[in-house]
Amino acid sequence: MNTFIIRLVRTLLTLWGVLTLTFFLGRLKGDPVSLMLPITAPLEDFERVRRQMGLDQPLLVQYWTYLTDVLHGNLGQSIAYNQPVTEVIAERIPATLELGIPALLLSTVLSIPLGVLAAVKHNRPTDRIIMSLSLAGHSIPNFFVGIVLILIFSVQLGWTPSFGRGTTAHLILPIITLTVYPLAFLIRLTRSSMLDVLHQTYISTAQAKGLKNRQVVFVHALRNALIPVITIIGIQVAGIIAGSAIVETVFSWPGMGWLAVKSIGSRDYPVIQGIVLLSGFAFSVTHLAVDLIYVLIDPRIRE
Amino acid sequence: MKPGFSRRNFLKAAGAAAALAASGSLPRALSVPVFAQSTRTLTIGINATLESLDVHTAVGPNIIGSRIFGLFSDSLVQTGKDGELQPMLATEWNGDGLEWRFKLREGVIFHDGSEMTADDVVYSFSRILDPNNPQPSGFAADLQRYVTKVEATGDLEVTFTTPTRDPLLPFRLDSYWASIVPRAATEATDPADLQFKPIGAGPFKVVEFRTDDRIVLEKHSEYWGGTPTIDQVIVRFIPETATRIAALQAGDVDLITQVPVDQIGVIDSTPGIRSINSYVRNYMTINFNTVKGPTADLNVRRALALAIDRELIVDALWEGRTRVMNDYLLPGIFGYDPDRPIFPYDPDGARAALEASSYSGEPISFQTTAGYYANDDPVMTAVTQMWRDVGFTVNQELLESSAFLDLYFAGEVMTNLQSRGASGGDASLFFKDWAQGTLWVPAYYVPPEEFNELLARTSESFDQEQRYADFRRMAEIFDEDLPFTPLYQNVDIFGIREGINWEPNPNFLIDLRPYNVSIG
Repeated sequence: MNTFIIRLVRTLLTLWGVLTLTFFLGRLKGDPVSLMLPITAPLEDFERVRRQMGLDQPLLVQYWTYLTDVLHGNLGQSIAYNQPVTEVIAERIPATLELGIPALLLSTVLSIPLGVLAAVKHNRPTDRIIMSLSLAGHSIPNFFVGIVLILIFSVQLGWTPSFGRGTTAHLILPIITLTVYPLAFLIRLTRSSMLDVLHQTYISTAQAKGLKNRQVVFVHALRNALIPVITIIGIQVAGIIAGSAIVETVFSWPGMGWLAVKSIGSRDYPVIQGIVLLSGFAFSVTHLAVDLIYVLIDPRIRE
Repeated sequence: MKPGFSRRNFLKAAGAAAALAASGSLPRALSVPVFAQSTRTLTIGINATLESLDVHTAVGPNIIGSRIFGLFSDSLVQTGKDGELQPMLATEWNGDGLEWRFKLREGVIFHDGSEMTADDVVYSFSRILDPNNPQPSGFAADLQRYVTKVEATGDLEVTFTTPTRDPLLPFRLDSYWASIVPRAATEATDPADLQFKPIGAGPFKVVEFRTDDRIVLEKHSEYWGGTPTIDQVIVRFIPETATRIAALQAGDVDLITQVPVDQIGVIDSTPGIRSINSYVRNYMTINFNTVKGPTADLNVRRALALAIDRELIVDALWEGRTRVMNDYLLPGIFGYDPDRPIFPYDPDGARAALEASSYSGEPISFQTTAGYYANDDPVMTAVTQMWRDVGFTVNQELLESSAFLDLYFAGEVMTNLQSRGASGGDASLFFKDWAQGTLWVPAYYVPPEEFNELLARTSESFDQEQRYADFRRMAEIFDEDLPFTPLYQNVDIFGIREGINWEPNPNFLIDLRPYNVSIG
């Protein structure tokens, strides 16, 4: 119980710290009002609008107002959308999850067997082929992958829609695009972690005991090899909420990633802060979950 | 477009069938305009996003609003292709002294079915000029200094009172932000809902608006200008240029905006689609800081202006698809002089001016907001090289918009690439950017007293001959002082499906009124 309370307090402190940093760093340079009015507008209009939006108050006053609002569940009003921040974000989460969750599942489910296979067939042709593909997926920028997929499957073949969100068919290309990089990365990670474990003495012991290879690999080795992999997957789970700005922009997918980029460009402070708060929260929760999984997998960690 | 069975169409049909089977929903291929029996739908792929459709309280003026607002909102007047004011919801207007009377069109039906009266116009303007508007509308901020009162002086007559004699009041009402809305229906709607379902008098009414996704509009069958020739308009936001062009090629959209010059060939060589190139009332300039820094020296500005080979830029970077400026004004704006020669390219003259100046080698910074203007980087690189060729040291910088604006507002910019223009058909509306109280004056340029007097005189006189002479003198003052130098007129490049007849508008409006568009 004690440890739980300590963790909770630490999480809250982290969230508060992250929020404060974003609040002040975001306001370091740039001005949302000057981005909204035409350059030729009279100077007094900039002042008037600034006053209307409460942006002329001293920074600490704005900060305090914002903090107290957040504690009451009010994340403020978006400057650009003129809607509550909670609404703006809530509208976009489903779109981001529609891409993020399948991509994560696909990359996890495909990478573990492929990584294990590569490790077990170390330095043989199978390993080399898998690693080359992984290298390709790792190095090609995902906007390029996205656009090439559109050109081939939409423009040339006409099999899928070229952009946007709507039917199930619309999900195919963006999910594939979003899967490529994490898949490539997780294959390498699984493989190298597996290789490490396979060279440990307890593996030789297991083999000497006469256990079948399959048992050695899947019962004894994999569990241990998965520990670093789970950490990375945990980080990726948290990252789903943040969305991929690049994939969403390429496919005109109205999700959190696109929102984040737009809001930063237009200095929509309330939305930026809302997104950061949400991401921070997601990271904290997954951090907790990953720690719990460790305990389940690795008995040495149980205290 | 013929629904033939080319191999591409066959594959598309097969693919659509597969997708239909797989997803259990309508295949996207139906977005291609099908005529005769089903709904005529026009799908537009647009490059920027809109966050609110409540025209009176929306941010602006900006290009994206100019493109879209006119789909569902009509104003009293609108500048036509030739620069003349066209009657829209107002049929006649006249004014003298401090009053302008507008006769309103009879039988205009709003989207909610009610008929327009003078009271609706009065209400609309009170809404626009409401000082408590939550979002900054540059249009409202501007209009409020030119209008003191709007009142109904008859069932179908409205009178505007201006603070001083104002020959230009009708031009000031020509804006997509000056939509006329019905009082009863608008007052009865929650302002938050009006952002998503605005009520207007335009040819289409908004059925659905999902921010960052799409706007769906359907035809307003009682539109005063005639039944629209299109049944449904869908606007999709596609910010990524490559995707937008692919969408047109794939048949997912019928019309796209903001096509870069180097993609015109790609579009024209794809069967079934073509590009459209049109001039807008807008041109690129390079501004100079005449108040401080090396450009405060007039000879330096002369050298910078003379060193630019504008024709080469147009030929090499724009494939000759636009024209070099010859005046500070544009065709279609009263005050424009078509007989002036184009702005000169004279590298020897530039070097002589540089010699005569006080320039001693300090770097001249040349900036703009990255990605905002088409071809910004190539044009700036060319100009930077031309300046270096005559002996200047130049730092070219593409900055993020906020970073640029910070410098701009601090008066720190030396030279920058910027577009200027006037949608209205009168030069005053262009020259007023140099009136007192804007950022530009006095931070970057202090016009001589003569300029201010001419500006005041042309804003209040109704004598067109005198005004023309005054405008020419103001252009001459710019020739003498060089606060900025014009480069080339801007063009708006579209991609469109074959079989759709549509013409672009020089003020960015995507005009889908019955006289301007038809399918097949």
